[in-house]
Amino acid sequence: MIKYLSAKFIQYLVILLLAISINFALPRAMPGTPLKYLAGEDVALLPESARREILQQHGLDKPLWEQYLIYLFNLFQGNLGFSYQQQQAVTAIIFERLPWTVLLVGSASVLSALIGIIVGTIAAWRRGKKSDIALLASFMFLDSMPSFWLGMILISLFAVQLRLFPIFGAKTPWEAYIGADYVLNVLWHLTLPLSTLVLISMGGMFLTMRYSMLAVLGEDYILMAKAKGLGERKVVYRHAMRNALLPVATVLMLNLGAMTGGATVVETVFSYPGLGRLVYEAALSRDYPLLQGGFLLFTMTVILANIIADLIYPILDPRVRRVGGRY
Amino acid sequence: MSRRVCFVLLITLTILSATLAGLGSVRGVQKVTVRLATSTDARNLTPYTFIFGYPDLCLVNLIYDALFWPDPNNIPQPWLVKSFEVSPDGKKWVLRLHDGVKWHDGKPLTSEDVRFTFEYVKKFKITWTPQLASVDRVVANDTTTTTVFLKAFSAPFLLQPLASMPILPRHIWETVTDPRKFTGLPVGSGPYKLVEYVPDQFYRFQANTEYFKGKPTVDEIAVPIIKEASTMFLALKTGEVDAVTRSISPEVVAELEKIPEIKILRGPGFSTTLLQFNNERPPFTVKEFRKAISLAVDRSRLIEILLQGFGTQGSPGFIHPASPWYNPKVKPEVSVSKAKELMDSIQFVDRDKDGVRETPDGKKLEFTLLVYSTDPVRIRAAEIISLWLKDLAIRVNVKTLDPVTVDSLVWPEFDVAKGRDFDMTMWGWSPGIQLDPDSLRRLFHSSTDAGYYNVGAYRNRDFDKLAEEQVVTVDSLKRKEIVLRLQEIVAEDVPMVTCYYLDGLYGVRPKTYDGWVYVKGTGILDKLSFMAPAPPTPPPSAPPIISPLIIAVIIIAAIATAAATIAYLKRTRKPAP
Repeated sequence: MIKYLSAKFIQYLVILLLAISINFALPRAMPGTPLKYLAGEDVALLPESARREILQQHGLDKPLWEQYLIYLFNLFQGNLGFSYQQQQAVTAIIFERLPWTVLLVGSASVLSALIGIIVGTIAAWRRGKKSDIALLASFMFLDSMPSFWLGMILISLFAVQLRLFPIFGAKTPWEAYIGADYVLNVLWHLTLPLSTLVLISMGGMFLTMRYSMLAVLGEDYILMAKAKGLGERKVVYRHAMRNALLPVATVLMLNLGAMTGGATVVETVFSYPGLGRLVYEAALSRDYPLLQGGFLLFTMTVILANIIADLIYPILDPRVRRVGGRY
Repeated sequence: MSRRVCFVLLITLTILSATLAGLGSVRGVQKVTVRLATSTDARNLTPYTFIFGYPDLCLVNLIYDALFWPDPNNIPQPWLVKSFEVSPDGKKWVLRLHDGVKWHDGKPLTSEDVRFTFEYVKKFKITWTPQLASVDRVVANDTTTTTVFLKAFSAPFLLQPLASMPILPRHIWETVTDPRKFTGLPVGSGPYKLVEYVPDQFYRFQANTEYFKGKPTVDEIAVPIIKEASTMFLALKTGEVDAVTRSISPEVVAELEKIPEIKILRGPGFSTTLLQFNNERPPFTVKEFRKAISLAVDRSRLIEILLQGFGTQGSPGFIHPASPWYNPKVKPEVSVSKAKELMDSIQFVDRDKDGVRETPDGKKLEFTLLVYSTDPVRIRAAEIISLWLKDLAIRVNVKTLDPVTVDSLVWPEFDVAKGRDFDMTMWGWSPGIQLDPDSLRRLFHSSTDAGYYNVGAYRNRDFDKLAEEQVVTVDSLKRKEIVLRLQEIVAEDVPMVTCYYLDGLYGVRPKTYDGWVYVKGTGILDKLSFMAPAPPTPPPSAPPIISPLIIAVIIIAAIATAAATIAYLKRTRKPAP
């Protein structure tokens, strides 16, 4: 067991180190310089010496290997650096955005998983019937919809025509709401982006659940359960669904890992202050420290989700326990 | 019958409550707050930390004041300065400040601050530093009088820096040694104070009630940052914001104009869209070839197709027709046949009959046209132009790349001395560059020091000489003559094709505020918009007199409607039994 865990630990450590190095290399592999954001648009007006000075202040005049060592050194001290684009520490920027991303993408993952699981189960149970075909068609339709387009449709319908929801932001910027008002305001702003995300991501969950459910329903033990004379509900929910949930749990884990990556497109359409848009804009402006910080967070959550999956899988599925029993 | 009565009562009540609610909200408005959406996060809005000339710097200028300020026609007028004198040789400027001007923190603004600003900006380089090159020294004579001595006369001096450089408070900045990393909220002397800034979300400005030019017309300006253009226009449409800093995209103008609560302020826009050549890469070194391309670019069609008419044809001399420096003699010309003749005359012909011409030494006329991937209008312009050039048997491949990558090819490290690596690009300059004709020198002078915007590597000795002469010409009429001549040279040499200037189209909701002033070329985001004696919007203190009257009218109307409805219902019922 300890051997197994330490092997795993080393494996993840190597992956993390690799990811950190790639995080450093990738932004710098892009052509162009962050000068415009360091010095402002009028950088052309500055003489060569002034530009060099600006690069110097940010350590960008040093050879790459030196920059890399400085980056590693700072990283191990928990210092992610200072953003070029926004004049703030990268950690501060990320921690300001993280809650919004978790709120939006997290609740979207949970909701779409719930809907996918329930509807997928129903569809599988009614396989071949009209309702199954209708559900299959509509969920596949939703699954294939571009999120940008769907977001715009929702905006023009619910925000522009019906004036039910706001168009941008995560809360009304200039109002200082407190308590219940604040929560309501946030939920009000959340509705449309959340609906967009749920609508486009529940299709995948539905398909996974339906397929897995169908496989399970063909198993002998289901026949056995039916033969025992158990009611339909009991067979579906207690015997079939539980077992069919395993692949869905895998997908959900993967989703959670990718979650902090945010939903760049939806965040853009709704001007939602999430991490996806932040990192996208950092890439456009060659904001190396912010890019490194963002990527680091993404890799860390993916790795973390993997570790959690590794740890809880044996609990979810006794078969894994048996196969890996030889640790 | 009872149902009918209920129905009538309901109507009356609804109308009454709606009126009352409406009146209540009118009475509630005492403070004017304008919600003005902006498109960029301009950081903390100090002269050292903003990023873009527009709209960032415009917001900075709500907080800070300059000594002079351009009027709506871009003619500099005294601002912080009450009166001034210039020596006949233009080398000595005596500037007297208004009395009692205060910084936002209550400290007085004195000539010491003015002197400090000149020295600080010279030391810590920023936008205005090159404009101070001609300054010899600055002396603070007494608390309100400053004298600026120039080494040599500089024609643009009044406009830049005097009417553009924000005056900094000495007591704040003298201890700042790394101004680009200044993070606090700015302290200025301008009509607005920045009271709150949440990065990437919003700014909140409050009127400087002690402003020396009188209290600004709008009490509070809330500025949400909405980067996505379509979202910004939708927010204006639904009334979530009252005005926008981004010029409305031509394709949504018609839609917004249909809404009665929205007014679109239109005026000349000074931002340019150019087809920029790399003049040092053959065959773009051949003047006739560049000229042939320019003959194929139908500017009026571009404006019609891309901008739905909301644009002005590009002058071959670069300067916008609305500028006082414009040379009306240089006119764009379109003629495909002439272009073909011109190509034939320099032996650029299709010898191997593959539909693409070759240069005399056998090189195919096949080029890459770089465009910002973030600018859909420019991408379309590039596509249309590439079709037109196909007619001339020139093959153009449009390549869209992210802006920083395009910049790194066209203008590596924003330093023209570092060379360039492109054939053609859809390029453009921000509005500010049109304000002073000295920009022609910066755009086309062959030396990399003077011509720091010369991304196309244009070279012409005669142009250089005249451009240098123009800066030191004291007589403004004579200067204008030279400037007109410069435009003729540029038009003749075609270092780039000025395609069009996109008109400024600013959407506002006049009900909230209607005092906007359109400054030629740059739009409504200017302190002048909040200075003018405000037209009373909405009518203050009027409601108490009018409201009973309105209520009476509405009650009568409601009763009349009710009576009419009853009568109507009765009549329709009658034939039934």
